[in-house]
Amino acid sequence: MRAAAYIRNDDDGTRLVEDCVAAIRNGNNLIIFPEGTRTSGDGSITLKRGAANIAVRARRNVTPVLIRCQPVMLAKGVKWWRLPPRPSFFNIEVKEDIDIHPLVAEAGSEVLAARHLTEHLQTFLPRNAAAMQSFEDEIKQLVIEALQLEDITPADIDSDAPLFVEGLGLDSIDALELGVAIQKRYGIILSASSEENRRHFASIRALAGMIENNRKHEGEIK
Amino acid sequence: MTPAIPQTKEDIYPWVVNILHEMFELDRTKITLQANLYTDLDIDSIDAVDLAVKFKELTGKRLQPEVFKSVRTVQDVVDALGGLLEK
Repeated sequence: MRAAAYIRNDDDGTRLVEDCVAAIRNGNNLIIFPEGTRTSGDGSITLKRGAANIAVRARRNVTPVLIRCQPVMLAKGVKWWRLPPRPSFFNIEVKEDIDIHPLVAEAGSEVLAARHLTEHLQTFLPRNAAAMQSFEDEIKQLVIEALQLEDITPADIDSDAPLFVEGLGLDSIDALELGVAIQKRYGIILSASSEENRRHFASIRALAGMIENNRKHEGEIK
Repeated sequence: MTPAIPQTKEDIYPWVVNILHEMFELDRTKITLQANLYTDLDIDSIDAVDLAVKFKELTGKRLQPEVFKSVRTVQDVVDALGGLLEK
């Protein structure tokens, strides 16, 4: 631990932040897992504000790095020796740096800047169940508007029901319309492969998942 | 704007509500006397220290760390400040 220059966190939160800020000022880089624990089984992650507080108080830019692992291993509640059936594949994605200075200036205080930065970082991550539900409602609204489905509200559409033939009873022309609407709203260009599209358009849930995974994480800082 | 330092005990609670609202963008209606700072209002240990510093700036008096560490609810904050301002 000491050799790796870990910073202790068994004292209290504030001392830890001060130690981290001091380490950065000494010219070190700091790697922080801002969720502060392992990802839970459903893949949802809620960030703590410590990492953002360090960046804000040290006035250093943040480089977000997303680590995905498929199939999941070493998850919470799973015995560590129970290895997945095939080797896990890690995908490490380095995002653009986030400039801390305008963020602090706009927030007006370090306390609020840390909150805003944490909310922004949270947008890079899979949503929790409640947020996903509201995102599915957003997609339902998009479908209703794009296809001008009259007399239908988001509540009438089952997230798991098929969109085509059965369920909503959409056809291939509707699929094209919907593709255009998705491209306009989320900047996602659907592939030409009909096989893949059939999977994406299987249900609202499938569609929401696809959009969630492909959308550009445009600046959502307030 | 945070109003001037509360003069009476009755003024402390609305004054604390204002500060919590301004510092942490908390919804005023959530800041009840029973609300727990940590579990209900999502305040973390770093925020708590910032809050203590803010109180000191505004009142010119310092909350004892052990008093502040025992604070859990908004009522506890009001009581701690009440004791402080009496002195």
